[in-house]
Amino acid sequence: MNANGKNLERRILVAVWRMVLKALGGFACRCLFRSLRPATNFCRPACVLFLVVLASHAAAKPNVLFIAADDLRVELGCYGGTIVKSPNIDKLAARGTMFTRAYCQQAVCNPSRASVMTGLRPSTLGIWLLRTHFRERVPDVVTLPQHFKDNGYYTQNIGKVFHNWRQDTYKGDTLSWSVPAVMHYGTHGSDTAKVEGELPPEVMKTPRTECRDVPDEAYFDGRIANLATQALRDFSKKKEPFFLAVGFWKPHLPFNPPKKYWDLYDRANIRLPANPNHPEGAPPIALHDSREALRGFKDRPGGKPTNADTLTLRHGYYAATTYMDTQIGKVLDELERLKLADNTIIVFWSDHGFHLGEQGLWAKTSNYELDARVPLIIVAPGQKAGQKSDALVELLDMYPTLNELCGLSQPEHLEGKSLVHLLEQPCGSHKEAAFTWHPRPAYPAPGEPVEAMGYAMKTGRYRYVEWRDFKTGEVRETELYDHQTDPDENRNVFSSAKKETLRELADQLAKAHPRKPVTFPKP
Amino acid sequence: MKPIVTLALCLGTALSLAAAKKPNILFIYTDDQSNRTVSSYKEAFDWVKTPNIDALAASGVRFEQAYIGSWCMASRATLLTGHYQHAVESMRMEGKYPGCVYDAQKCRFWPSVFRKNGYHTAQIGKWHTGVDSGFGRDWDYQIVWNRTKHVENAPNYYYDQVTEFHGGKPQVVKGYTTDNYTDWAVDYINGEGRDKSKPWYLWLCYGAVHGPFTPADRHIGHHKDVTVPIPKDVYPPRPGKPAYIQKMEHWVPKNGEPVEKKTRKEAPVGMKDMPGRPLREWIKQYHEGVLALDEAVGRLLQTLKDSGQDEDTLIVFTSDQGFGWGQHGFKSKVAGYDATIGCPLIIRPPASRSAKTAGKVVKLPVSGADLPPTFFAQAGLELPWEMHGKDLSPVIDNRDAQPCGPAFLVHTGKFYGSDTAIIPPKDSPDLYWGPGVPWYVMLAEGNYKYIRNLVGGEMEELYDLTQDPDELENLALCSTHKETLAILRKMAVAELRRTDAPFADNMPKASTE
Repeated sequence: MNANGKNLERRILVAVWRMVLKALGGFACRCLFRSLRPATNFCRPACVLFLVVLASHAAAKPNVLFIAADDLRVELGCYGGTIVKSPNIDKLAARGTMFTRAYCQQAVCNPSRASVMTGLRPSTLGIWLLRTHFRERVPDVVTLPQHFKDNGYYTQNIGKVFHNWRQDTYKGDTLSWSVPAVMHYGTHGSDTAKVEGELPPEVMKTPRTECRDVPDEAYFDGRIANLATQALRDFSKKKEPFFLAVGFWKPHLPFNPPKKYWDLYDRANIRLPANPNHPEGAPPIALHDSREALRGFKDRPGGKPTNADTLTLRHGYYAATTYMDTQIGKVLDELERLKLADNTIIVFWSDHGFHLGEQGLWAKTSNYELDARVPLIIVAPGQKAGQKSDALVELLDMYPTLNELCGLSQPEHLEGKSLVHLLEQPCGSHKEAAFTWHPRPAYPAPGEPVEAMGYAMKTGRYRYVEWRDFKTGEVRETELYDHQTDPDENRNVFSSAKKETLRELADQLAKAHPRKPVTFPKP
Repeated sequence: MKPIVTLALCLGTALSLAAAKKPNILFIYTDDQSNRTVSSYKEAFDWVKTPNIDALAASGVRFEQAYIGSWCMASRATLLTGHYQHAVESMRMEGKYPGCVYDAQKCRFWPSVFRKNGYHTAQIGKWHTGVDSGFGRDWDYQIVWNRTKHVENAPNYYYDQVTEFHGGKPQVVKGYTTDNYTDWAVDYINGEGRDKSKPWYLWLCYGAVHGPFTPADRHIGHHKDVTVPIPKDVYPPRPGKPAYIQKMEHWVPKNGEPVEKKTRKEAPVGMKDMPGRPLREWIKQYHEGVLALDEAVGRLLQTLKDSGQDEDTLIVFTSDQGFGWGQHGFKSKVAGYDATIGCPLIIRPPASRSAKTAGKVVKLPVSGADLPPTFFAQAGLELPWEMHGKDLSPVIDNRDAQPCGPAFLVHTGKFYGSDTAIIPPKDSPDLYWGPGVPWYVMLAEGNYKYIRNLVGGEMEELYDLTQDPDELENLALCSTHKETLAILRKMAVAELRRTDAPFADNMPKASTE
């Protein structure tokens, strides 16, 4: 412990020194440090503290490594998952601050990502569908990477960051990046195994899954990791700070990680969901047909996966998570190897959660905790490691957070709130509630009218949902889940809850989202 | 140097955990207490009120589906060794019931390992696993009612127990046992007879609420005016259930309600039949017996708080198994149904770190065999031998963690270890030893429970506990559940092999296979 402590001390000193040098550069700082150097052991802590403070205030332009996962729910080793293997994300969490109650703004790709990247709520953007591009609604909005680009950053996008399909007029967002994005646009179905020579056989034989003995690079995420490490090597030779957005496509369906990731799991440890039924007393409008996952199981009894299928799907999801985790490891290792880690902010997030049969649901598009809650980890140089914050936070808070960490101005349009104070004091509180919404039908077809919008509010104790008529804003159905007694949301207790509680919650929700027809900005 | 050390400690929770003080462990272990008797369980009748146990649950983690054991002795043997009954080597029933012996070389009890690693270990109350109760080897401190040694005194669950204090001469102790045990435990927690510099482990084994189900005097009549619902299948026939259940007739109708039938010439200890006594009266009496236990939990928690040890003490509350009153016709435990073996399990981490999981409810099933590995992990000790359960620490220390792998329970009557290699033939009383329930293998996974009765040609059982919590519809007989049945059967065989069950590969064929 003693020797380790000394080593650590030396490493921290070196790291801080490097940061300060980079921050202030040149002569002034060297003089400063020389003047501190003769300090005895006794006052060294003071020097270190002083330097840490100095560094966090003066470190101009740290880099940003912005890593997104797709459909990754809060089931990871660092979040207490006992089955899933996610060593690289766990390691990342141990280096920074992990948010245990972070929520997306809509549990489907496009609206969630549009909100993250613009810093606007889907309700402000008027986006609830997969096919609406945010520039159709707010053409001039400055996105997060665009703001960084405008402030002297080199911004680059590798993989899926903006939503990626059925927006052919835009195909991402060219205004956001210094160079054209790569591997960012396509369907998940097109991510099939590509190898030289003969393709090894598929052995899983379950719809929506694929298991072949192929290398990581056979699929998108393996290639994305390689491109990202190459980009980091290029950045290490440049002077300007970078904002690198790396978007992984997994663990999104189909669950097709290479065989070696399936083999990491003992099938005997994969569990069936404990709550496979719809929540008691949930209105039908709150549910959906789980079509994204279940469309492959039409030949099964009741059109649903059998228990064997369920185990395979869950196995596949875990394996896909580990595959994605391994790719993250490659990028983070390269960052470390290039000695860029000390001056790079790392953010890891997922666009929304996922159901694997719990509550009788599969995939996303609900307003429930499993879909709304997301992993969120922030590692910032100069901040403490191994921290956990239980504060209620929203994904749209990332935009102002990164601005503050990098000393950039806060564009006026932002609706989020910086999380930097939680990096400093993780036990602090942040928001009274987190908001998520979703329309019904869950995936309206082109031309199909939207009937209702579900407004969900997560407070410290409850999840409260109002399903309102899309055209009038009139409340049609309501749900209340008490996370104190029912964290898995198995019982809608709206009808038995105290009147005052319900009134308070309804007022709180109406304050954020008045009971009005859903509208959207018309440019 | 100080800021650096602080920084270093912040680098990982692993570091700070390693440096943390070893927790005390208070393991409260009751007898025959169904989860119907604890008001925080959904199975409880609406008039059941256990405020102190509920408060413990609200500050800790409550397990909705816990399968600790099938009967008193086997459950205790598992909790002392970390092994399922079929791997508890050398344990044998001998002489007059409940006499039994074991070879301490072949059958080691893990508290001795805690002792060697700096723990002060104590056992108070009922003992049912061998004449040698391990004082001086497993326990530094022991106030024991050793039923296996003083078999004549074995029926005295509630008064006049022959008690040995720390290996001393047996003496008869007056007073109501639940209150006595609590008094002794309070003294121990307050420091009596122990080295205060050491962390402690106390296994507090109440005899309540075992037959003869005697409540404390102050609680007699407490429930006299409550309405007791009668189980749906108290009388036969019970379609879709194995043959032995069809013969389960402890209750017969009289004046429109079930009353006890004379079924046994010789009843097990404390289980004397009282022909004609209404089932409702039995149930009220049984629940009255729990009230002193709830008071005890309140006193123990208060003692921990008052002595400043709450912050450092892990508390576990459970029972050896449950007890069935009328469900499927039973007046007993043993059978693998929730009504007969389901019992409460609450684990509260030391108060210094319990807030983050306070009130958590775990729906996925867990086993009694999971407790010893959990204790070792919580104490930061290596497992001294391979144990069959899994460490539940992630589940109790982290809000989001769920147990990994299925819950498992094997009932092999009065046989243990390699004595279970040959499954008794179909007509052997050894197969049905006890309340007439044959040997079985039970596996709970997700919302399903699978039971394989080890009787040639008998049906398997499969229940969906979310749709059918009373376990009335055997899905093993439904063609729509063939695949689920096959998965769970396979899982069960895999668990038997993993845990070295000597009979894993020669189980009699089931009619549903």
